[in-house]
This record gives sequence, structure tokens and C-alpha cells, in this order.
Amino acid sequence: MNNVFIVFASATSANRVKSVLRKSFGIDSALVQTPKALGTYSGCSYCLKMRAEHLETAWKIVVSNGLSSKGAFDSKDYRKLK
Amino acid sequence: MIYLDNAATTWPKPNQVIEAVANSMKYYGANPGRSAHKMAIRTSEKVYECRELIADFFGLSNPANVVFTQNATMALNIAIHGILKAGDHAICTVMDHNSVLRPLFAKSPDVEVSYLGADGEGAISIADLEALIKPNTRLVIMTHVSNVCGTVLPVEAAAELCHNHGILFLLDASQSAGIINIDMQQMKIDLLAAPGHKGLYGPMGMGLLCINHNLDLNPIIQGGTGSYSKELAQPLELPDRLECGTLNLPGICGLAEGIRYINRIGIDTIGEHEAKLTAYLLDGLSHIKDISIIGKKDTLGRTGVVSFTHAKKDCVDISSYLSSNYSIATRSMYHCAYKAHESLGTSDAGTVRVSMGIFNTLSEIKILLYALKNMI
Repeated sequence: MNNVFIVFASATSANRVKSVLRKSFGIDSALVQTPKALGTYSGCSYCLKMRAEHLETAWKIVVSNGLSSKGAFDSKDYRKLK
Repeated sequence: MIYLDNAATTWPKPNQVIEAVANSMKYYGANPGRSAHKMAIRTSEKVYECRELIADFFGLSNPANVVFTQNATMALNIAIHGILKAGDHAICTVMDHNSVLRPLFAKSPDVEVSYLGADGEGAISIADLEALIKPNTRLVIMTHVSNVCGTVLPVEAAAELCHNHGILFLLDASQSAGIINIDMQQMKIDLLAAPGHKGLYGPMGMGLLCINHNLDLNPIIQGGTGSYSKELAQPLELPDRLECGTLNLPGICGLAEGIRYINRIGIDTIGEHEAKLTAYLLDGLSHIKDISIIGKKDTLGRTGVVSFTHAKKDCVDISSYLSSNYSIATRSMYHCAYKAHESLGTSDAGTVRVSMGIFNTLSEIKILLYALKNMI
């Protein structure tokens, strides 16, 4: 099963998307350390890990709330998806 | 002890607040927003949970716009110093606390400051406020409730006026948060400063600045945020722009439980309880020889902060007498709001202040009145 990472500079932004996903859509995601391979995007930030099928929903939350994200990436090959 | 100094800080705290503070150090001991091990992530989620609770409590749509501070004074300073620039004009009221008056004084003369007067009961006029507005008025700051006499100021009308003139409105909710319902969006309040340790029943060392929309406030301190670490400039995003360094996690966890406690009881219930005690106290004080109630004489347009003076006794001596003989805690003198005393006619001697909270009882007020009646 494919997973994706959405990388945020701010822990608050990551937590906000996690909270909206859970409360409004019943979707679980996890706050994790940004993988080293994506480190150039992040500094010392967090990212949100979720199943790939939830990416569109999560990304809509990012965009509609004007949150600053470093992008969404495939968890296997770190290909940039958004 | 009979604790009647709740305007300074509420005491006792609900048991669940005390437990939350202790548990935070057992289970949420990591630094949130920095490391990414399990406990740090759990702690980060706990901090965000508290932001959400506060945002819901004050009718704020974006939890990221809840900035944790060490107290209301710091929140007011962040707002005042962050907004006002040279050439701006600001308005505050004479009923405001030194936590507003002093930062404004520090900004002058680069920033022009006007003081909105009050009557002998601490009430202000919206027409008088409108008359003070100038083309360069950038900010109006107003306390919601006088910390000296408990008078409630017409902040909703003031905020509406400011909104119509394109002026930012900063509410000092130090004496109202947790006692009076506040919806920042509905009331058009741009910024709200509040202590976490008074009517919100959290621990001391906690305060809040809530920002209703995306304002670019210049930060008064800079430092580590766990975000944008490669950049030397302070991040633009809230709360990181105004909140840096390690957070007061025990305070945040305690504050969250304080808000849950209020939500469970209901602000209206808390207000009714304090109004009942206040009515009894005001009636009792009005029948004691030589005592004068300062401010409103009935419960309309006021909270459970009651000040009085005595024709023959010094207010410090009265507080000392109550503490020594009856273990009753009150506060005396100027309450860090000298301009309010000038309006209330108590600038020479100050007042004795009695301030109630959810844990006070009618029996305690009866003992206070008995003590005052029997004062020699």
C-alpha cells in the first residue's frame, strides 16, 4: 500500500491538517519526522504521513487554509506529487 | 483561607487542572515542535489540541492564530509593540491596566496616545471614543472589565465602531475571559489578550494572544521555532512569528483542562454564581457604616470584582485586618490602574478589592461582611 508525505515547515500546520482530516473526514494520518531524503525541503520540520488515496483530500485542506507546505511526496521514491 | 483575590489569580484551581499539570511532566515531557521522537510528537499534538480548544472558546477560526505567552501583559506588549509604528495614533481608556498604559507610554512620543475618560462608576461613552478618532488612528485598546471596580465596558460597540473606521481593536480580556462569553468573529475583535490563570483557571505563567485574521505583527522577540531553521529571519507564519523558545507545556496542559472545566460548567452558570454572590456582598456593604462602594452599586453591567473604601480606615489596614483575624484574602491600594482611581475618586487612598470566583460560597461572603461590621 502506497503512502505519501506532506512536508510542512511548521508543526502547527501539520497538526492542523491532521486534525481536520480526522474530525471532518475520519481519515487517520501520522505526524512523523521528515525523511532525510526530503531534508533539503524541510530543515528540522515534521511531515504528515497518510495513505496515498487521501492525498487529494489532505491537499485541499492545505490549499484552502493557505498553509505553507513544502510539497507532497511518494513515500517510496520521494517523487514530488504536489 | 477565604480567598477573595480572584482578580489577581484564581484559587484554588480545579483538581483536573492540577492533575493535568502533573501528568504533563510525566507523559508529555518532550520539547514540542523540535525533535520527532514519539513523546515529542505526542507533546506537539497536545499543544495543538490546546490551541484548538482556545480557538473554539473565543470563536476564532484558525487555531494557529492562538499565540501562547507567559501572561496577558506579554500578550498586550506583543500586540502593542507589534502593531504601532512612529506616526500612528492609539486610543486606550483610563480604566486600562498598567499592562496597557505602560507599553503605550513607552511608544510615545513616536506614537500619539489618547486616553478615553470614564465617569465616576468606570463607564465610558462610545460617542466620546468616536470623537477621539483621527485619520492616523491605528489601534484602540480597551479592557473588557475594570480590574478595580468590575464595571463592564461596551466593547462590542467599540469594536464595531473601530471596524467601521478601519481601526484595529485589541481587547484586554484579563478580567472577562471565562466569565463573560466572547466570540471574536461575532464581536469583530481583531486581537484578544488574556491571562490563562485567572478566569480560565489554568496555572500561573500562562497567557494568550488571539489574532482574528492575518495581521503582520513585528515580533518583539526572535528565536528558535523548530521551523524554517535554515533561515535567519523569524518565520512569517503564526504562531511561530510571535512564539519562540520552549513553550510552557505544563501551563498549556493545565490551561486546556481549565477551559474544559469551564465548558463543562458553562460560562453562564459561572456568571450567575458570581452575580449572586456579588448582589449579596453589595447589599451587605451598603448597610455597613462608613463603607462606600466604588463603581456600580448593583449587579447590572458589572462582574464580581468589588471595590470599597472606608471613611475612617486605611484600605491597607482593612486588608491586613481581614487577613490576620479571619484569614480572608483581599487586595488593597491601586491595583496597577492608577488612572482608573483618578476617575473613580480614589486616587488618594486606593480601595479594598474583593474579587470572586467559582469556588466562593455565600457563607464566605457572610463571614466577610461579619468581619467588616465588627471592625474596630
